[in-house]
Amino acid sequence: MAKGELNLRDLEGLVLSPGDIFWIKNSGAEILIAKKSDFLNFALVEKIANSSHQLRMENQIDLSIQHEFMKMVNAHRREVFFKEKLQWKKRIFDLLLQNNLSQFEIGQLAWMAWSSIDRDSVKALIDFDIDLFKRSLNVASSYVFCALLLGYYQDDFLKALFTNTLKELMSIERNELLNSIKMEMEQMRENDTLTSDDNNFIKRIYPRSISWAGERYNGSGVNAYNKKEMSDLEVLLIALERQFSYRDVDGESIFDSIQKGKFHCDEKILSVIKKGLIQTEAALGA
Amino acid sequence: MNQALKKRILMSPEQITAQVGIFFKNTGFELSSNYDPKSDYAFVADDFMPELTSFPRLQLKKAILPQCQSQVQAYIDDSFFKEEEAEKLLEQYYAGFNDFNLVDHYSSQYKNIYTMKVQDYLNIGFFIDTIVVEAYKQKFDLEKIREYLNFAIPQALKTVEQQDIPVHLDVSFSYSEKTFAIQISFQAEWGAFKCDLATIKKFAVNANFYDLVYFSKRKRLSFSAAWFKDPLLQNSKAYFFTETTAKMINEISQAELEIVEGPDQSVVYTSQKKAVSEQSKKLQLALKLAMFIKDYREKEEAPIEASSLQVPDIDNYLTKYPRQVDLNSLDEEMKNFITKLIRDDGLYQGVTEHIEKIAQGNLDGHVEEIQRVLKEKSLEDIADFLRIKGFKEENGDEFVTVSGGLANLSEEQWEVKRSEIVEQIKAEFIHIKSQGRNVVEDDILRVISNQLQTNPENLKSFVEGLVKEAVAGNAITKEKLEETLSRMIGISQPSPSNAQQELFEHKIERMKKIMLQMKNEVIKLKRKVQVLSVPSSSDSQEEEIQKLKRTLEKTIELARNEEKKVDKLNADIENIVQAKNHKIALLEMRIETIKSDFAASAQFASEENIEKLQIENKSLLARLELANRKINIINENMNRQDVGYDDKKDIEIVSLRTELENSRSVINQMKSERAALEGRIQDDKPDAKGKDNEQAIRMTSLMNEKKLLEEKLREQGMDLKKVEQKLKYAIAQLEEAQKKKGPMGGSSNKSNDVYIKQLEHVSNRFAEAASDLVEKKKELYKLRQENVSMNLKIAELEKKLSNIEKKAA
Repeated sequence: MAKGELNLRDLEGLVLSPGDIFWIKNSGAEILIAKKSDFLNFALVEKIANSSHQLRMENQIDLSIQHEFMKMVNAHRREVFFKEKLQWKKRIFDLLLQNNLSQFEIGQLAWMAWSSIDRDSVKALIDFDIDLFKRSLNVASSYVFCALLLGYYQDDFLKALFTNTLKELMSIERNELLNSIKMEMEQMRENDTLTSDDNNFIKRIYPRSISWAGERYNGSGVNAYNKKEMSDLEVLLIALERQFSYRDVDGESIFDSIQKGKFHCDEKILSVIKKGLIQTEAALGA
Repeated sequence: MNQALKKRILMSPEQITAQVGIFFKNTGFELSSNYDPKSDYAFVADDFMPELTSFPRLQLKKAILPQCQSQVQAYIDDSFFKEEEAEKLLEQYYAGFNDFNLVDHYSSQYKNIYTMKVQDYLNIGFFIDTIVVEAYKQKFDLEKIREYLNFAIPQALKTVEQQDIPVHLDVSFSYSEKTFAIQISFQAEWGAFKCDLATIKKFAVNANFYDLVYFSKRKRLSFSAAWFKDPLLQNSKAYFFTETTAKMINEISQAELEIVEGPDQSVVYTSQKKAVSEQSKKLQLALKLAMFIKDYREKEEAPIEASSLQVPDIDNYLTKYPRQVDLNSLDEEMKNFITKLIRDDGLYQGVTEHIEKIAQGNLDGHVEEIQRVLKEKSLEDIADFLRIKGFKEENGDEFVTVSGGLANLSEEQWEVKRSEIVEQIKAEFIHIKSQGRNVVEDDILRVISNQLQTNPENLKSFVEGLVKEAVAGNAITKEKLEETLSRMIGISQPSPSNAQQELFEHKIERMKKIMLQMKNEVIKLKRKVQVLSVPSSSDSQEEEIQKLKRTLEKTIELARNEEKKVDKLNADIENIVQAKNHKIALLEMRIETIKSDFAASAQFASEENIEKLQIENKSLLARLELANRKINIINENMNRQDVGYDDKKDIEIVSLRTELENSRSVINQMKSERAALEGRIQDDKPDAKGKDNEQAIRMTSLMNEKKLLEEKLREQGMDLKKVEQKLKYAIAQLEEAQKKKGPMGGSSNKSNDVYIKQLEHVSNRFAEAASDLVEKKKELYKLRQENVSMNLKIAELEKKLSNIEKKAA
């Protein structure tokens, strides 16, 4: 693929690099400064771009969507009446479904719209483990979009939801090898019922807060809550925790999974989410 | 615990045999009229055995004895046992136990389930309207639903607002053909929502079915309501307080109860934890207010010194507090405590730490211990208890108390214990020193944990204070201990010579601990094995029988339910088949009537058609005649019009000619006037110098004349234009007339040619007149220019004249 010109404005607010970014030196040598889905060191890119060096990008995602998306999110944010908010929400999901976005793109968009984590903190999270960060971003971004579909509309709430979820998922205590933790979690992900060993493991790796990965609807989780005691968001988070793999972090997007019936959640919640998506699809077809 | 799980109901013998009794029996309850003190009952029906005060009551009658009223947890009116739809709902409610969800129940497999989240006050109206509109579409009583929502949602929001948590209500609704259900759930601390019987009745007043559930574990409140479409059920009513019903009635939860048997064998409940939470709440409020005052004082220009703050000053500050509602519960003790908090930073930090731990919810041993101790102490005592080490008291001695306390000891006991520990540490230090090695953290912790028989992890915070006390007694030099302490809290690294030795010792210690733990576990496992192998065979058999009995009951219930469903299905199918047969019969009848109608109409169809055609033919002929007449009339009119038209045109042409002649005469007049003017101007020129006054008069007269001429010229131009337009119009009309007359107007061809020639002639003359006019205009322009130049000359002459006059003067 030919390398395209890089517009600095397209990279503003992104956390991971949207494509392979090259620095073209005066001698003609090309230096890869960020690979696609690596941490995007925006300060460095900005510095190079401002010092009249040439920057090029290839293998990138469609960067035009984010501007459109942010316009809609800001309009949704500014709107006071729920009726109007509904219109903007519909447009947001029209845009997402029309462009058939990957989970990576969904994560980037959610980050741009609802993250309140500063660059230094996110650097620390990515340095902790980039794959774990990507997986957490997948869960948190899907969580916030599904919450929007469920009817949560207050922007501060969505921001808190996204940021807190991401931070909580990343708050693993690294007292064992991270790979073995991930393997254990991956195995646990498959189980409908957790054993006391699983619960102890969860308590050990999340000593400060309990991850919803350690919960199940049937009361076998760390807190032994049953479904009736949970809010819809808690049920949703349990389902999303089980949906996203620790191994394959670049998997199918949440919307594809929902549409193909691969996302397993409480029937009632799933029905509401599907209803939101179907309305958008119907509008697209019309 | 859900009362329904107990499956036993105390009822009067009449009720057992009545419809109510049969319903509960069929639902799987065990009904009894004899009270067995060893048994636990889900409910006592109505006011049966009023002396029993320990069980919740299920009200089935309209009125019961007043002394039993306070125990009522559920009310069901008799219409619920008469109508199928209502009975089915009750059956599902009691059979569903903990899993029953009203909204899910009516969702028809989640197809028509709707959720909405209320996150602000502004949009409540929209949400309520959405639900009401859906109810209207489904033909439910929308007035009652609107009334309920108008009451329930603001109540819920008020509850949320009281707790200072973000507004967030989860509202969901669904419906079946016969029932509409709404559920509202939200986060609520126990006590934030007033759950007395009167309030619940208010909620239930506009609903047919109302269920209030409090999930104490999740601190979540949920209220569900249902409305029936059936006109017979419009006035039916049932309401329930589920899960925490005991709490609602007795204002204490099952978990917090201490059961004390009274002399008359009745059971009395007493609250254990209420005082604890009260004190914590007081602390929280005091801290919040202290924080506010501290912040306020920072912004003040010249605040009173913290040490000289008094209660009236606190009162003064609190008048500025934005939420004055919070101050209602403020008493003198609290105010004193707030004063102390502001004065004493150590106390402030200690309380902050304590409240943070409670707020985080992860209560460790220390906090639980404080919670336990707090309930017996006043705020004054709490101040001493929570003050954090490192802050100096008024007497100047360093006061060492550690947040969290230790064990269940009185202050005197603790002082004794404390001195013992200090002595132990001193001895241990000397012993370790004699071995030629430094004291490490584990050594201290080991000594103290042995003394107190507690977990070493909980003791870390104590150690520093205790060691300081040991140093104060000069048992060991401070330098050595400082090194030890710094090592203890992990600041400096051990010297390389001692490092290996310490590491080795540390490992040994760890191994010992692991061995101890393993021993304990082995002992525990052995005990477990013993316990598991011992139980008597009769007990286990009985248990198994009980289990089997329960499972059998459940299966029977299920089978019954299934049977009912099947019966219902059969009945439905039969009804449908009957309805279909009826419909088919109706359709067949209709076909027959259509057929007969068609046959009858076919016979007369041909005769009717002929008659119709004849009438149409006649009307068409009449129309044709009329049209011919109209054409003839039009032709005649055309001929007449042509004759009149030519006369008119002749008159117009004559008038045009006269007008042209007039214009010519005007032009000639203008020419003569112009010549006269020119003559005058030429005459005026040589006499200009000598006759200034005359010149001026002449000039004005000339100017006036010029203006008059110009006006005349304009008028003439206008007239000419009018004539021109008329001419054009006449020509156009003539051309049109020629066109019209073309085929049939043969007689008037000659006169037309003459007219055309005349017209051409007129137009030529008109063109000449127009060219003359143009020339005149040109001349006028020249004259104007000359006039301008003349004016200039006159101005010059005037100047010269004035100069001459000056010289003459």
